[in-house]
Parts: sequence; structure tokens; C-alpha cells
Amino acid sequence: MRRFALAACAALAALLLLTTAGHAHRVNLFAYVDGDTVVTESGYSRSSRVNHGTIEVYDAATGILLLTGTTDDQGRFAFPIPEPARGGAMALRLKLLAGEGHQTEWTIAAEELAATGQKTATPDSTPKSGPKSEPKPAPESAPAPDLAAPQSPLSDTAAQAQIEAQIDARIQTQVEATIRRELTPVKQMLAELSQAGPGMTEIVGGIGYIVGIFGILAFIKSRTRPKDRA
Amino acid sequence: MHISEGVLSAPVLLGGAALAVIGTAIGLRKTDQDKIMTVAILSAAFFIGSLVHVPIGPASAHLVLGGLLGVMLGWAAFPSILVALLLQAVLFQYGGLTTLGINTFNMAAPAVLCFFVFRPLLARGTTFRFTGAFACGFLAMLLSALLTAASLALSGDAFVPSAAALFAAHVPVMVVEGIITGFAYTFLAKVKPEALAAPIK
Repeated sequence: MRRFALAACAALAALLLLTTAGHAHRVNLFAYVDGDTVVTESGYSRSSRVNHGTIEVYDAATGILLLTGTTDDQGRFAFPIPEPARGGAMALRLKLLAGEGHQTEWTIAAEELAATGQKTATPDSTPKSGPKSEPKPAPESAPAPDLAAPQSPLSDTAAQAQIEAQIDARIQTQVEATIRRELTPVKQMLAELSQAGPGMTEIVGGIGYIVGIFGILAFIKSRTRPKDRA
Repeated sequence: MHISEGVLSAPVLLGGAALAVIGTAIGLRKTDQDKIMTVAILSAAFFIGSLVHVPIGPASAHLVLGGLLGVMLGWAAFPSILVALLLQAVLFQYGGLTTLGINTFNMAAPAVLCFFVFRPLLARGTTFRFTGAFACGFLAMLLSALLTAASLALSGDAFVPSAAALFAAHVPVMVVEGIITGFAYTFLAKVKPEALAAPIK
């Protein structure tokens, strides 16, 4: 009876282990969107980086390979958001091949990419005409509105609206730039946190498990032994 | 040398698991009650050894201590390594649960093999003993690297490049393992010979 209870407990414990370790891997990959680029950080546990690992970027839905790259000495690899993925059209699945049987994946959700505009045709003119915004439909008629607008003797209200739209767009880009700058260290911190190696809890816990597992084994052996002899 | 999940093909995983189960069964059969403490302690050593990292090239190698477990436990290295790898997979996310079998086999089989090959040497005088233990530590690691490369090759990787990369990455660790195994074994043979799998004359 007691043995049955023991076996049941062990089975339950095994079941618990199975659920918690669904996505177990040893190398870490962390990626975040920074403006128009995706920054990836790859590392093994405990501060050692994956240098010269291969990163493959897939369309998460179709599995089409979009691009590949190699990480640098710091385990970093940044790439501009691929054309089809801009504006949150698809989620990206990043796969890190660190060699010798080490691999892991990271998915960038489509929402994370949503803030990146459709590919800017003229990236140099105004500071990024991209970020999907309401003023976008208005200035379609004016390719270089800054200079053209005040001179054209259009109706006052139209000019006013155009200028306001420009100001709005500019404020928006500036706010976005500031937020990005402020968030960069936070994102890096997150990247580091996600790559933290096993801590004291895991180590001590693991040793405890070993003691327990072999304790159970010793218990079983001690119970079966007298029967064998008898 | 922990192979991650999703790298290997199903037949390799199943084959590895089957071999690991056989090895573990033999190991458990050979583990009597007096030996369980040794098995447990070495399992803990194996578990912790993987945290000692040496970054080399693109990979990062760590102590494995497979050879040490082999010389001290013989067949019982299988259950010992299995438990340690299971906990590493669950707690450290090293390797994975699906690759547990093949990883166990890759680490434990060379350890057991080296134990049987070098057993005569281990049973002799101190200098021979050190040499034998060193060879066990060194070769167990080498064979583990080869087995890992072979399992990768069976799943589609080219054998020679990955074997060469694994080998190059692990040479320093092999030497370190050999030295650790050598000293640990000769020390234990002196102070606590009854803890060893091979009889000491």
C-alpha cells in the first residue's frame, strides 16, 4: 500500500516536471525591435556569449526563410526589419543555431512590429515619414511640403491644416525617438535578465532533488532486499 | 554537449532513449544499497560540474566529469548521469527532456567503456592508477564529443566539421577532466577504496 502511494507520488512529480520544462533549451536568444531594426542577443547561460552563431529569420506563419546573419563577439546581431514584415504584417520567428546541437528560437509578435512604418520610400527628406499615423493621408499631394506650403496661396484653412499635420508628425517622430532612447537601456536590461544563468535556488534545489531521488531509491532497495533473501 | 530540443530527428532520439534505458537498467541492477550514496554524491558532482564554464571559440565548454563517474561507478554511471541530466534539463534548461535519452547515452556510455578498458590499469600501483584515471577522464570526454557529433550527423549535420568543432572546443576541458579524474581517483583509492567500483589491490 505504502509502495503504491510512493509510486503515485513519484509519477505525479514526474508529471509536474514535464509541464514546467516545455521549452527547455540551453542557449538563450533574446530579440527586440529598436526603431527600424531588430536587435538580437544570444548567449549561453552565465555571461558567455554566442559569437559567430547563425541567426535565421523566418516568417512565423509560413516558415519562409527571410534572412540569415551571424552574431558578433558580443553575441549580438541586428538587422533591418524585412520588407514584408513592416507594419506588423507578420510575426517573425528567429532561430539561433549556435552549432554543436545548440539551438533555440524567439518569436517577435506582429504587434511588436506594428509601430514600424511601411518601408519609407524617401527616408532622408523629413525625419521619417513612416510611423503609421493619422496625418499620413493628408500630405500625399505634397512631396516636399515644408517649403511648398507657405508659398502657395491656397485657402487659409487648408494651409493651416497642413501645417498642423506637419507639426503633429514632427512631434510624433520626436516623441518616438525620445521613447526609444529612454527604452534602450531597459530593453538591454531585459535582454540580460532573460539570459541570467541558473541561480542559487536552482543549484541548491537540484542537489536537494538528487538527495531525494536517491533517497527514494535507497528506500525501495532497502524494502525489497529482505524479501529477496527471505 | 547538451544537445538542445528540436535538433535531432526522431529515430536518433528514440534510439538514444532506448540505449539509455538499457544502460540505466543495468546500472540500477548493479547498484546495491551500500553504493547508492556514492552514486548520489557523484550525480550531484556531475550536476554542478556543468556550471563550471570555459568559453572556447563559438561554443562554451564546461566540465562534464563523465570519466570520473565512470571510474568510480562503472555501470552505475548511467542512472547517476541520467538523474543529473534530468535536473539540468529541468532546472537549468540545459539540453531538454526529449534529448535526455541520447544525452545520457552520449555521456555515460564512454564513461562505462573507459572504465572497463582501463580497469586493469586502475587496479595496479599508484602511478598506473593515475595514468589510467587520467586516460578515463580524457577519453570519456573525447568519446562523448564523438558520439555527440555522430548523433548530430545522423540527423543531417555533416559529421567531420561538427566533430572537429566539438573536439577543438573540448581539448582543454579533456585535459582538465583527465587531471581531476586522476587526482580524485588516486586520492580515493588511498583513503576510501571501498567507494570505488574497481577492486583495489
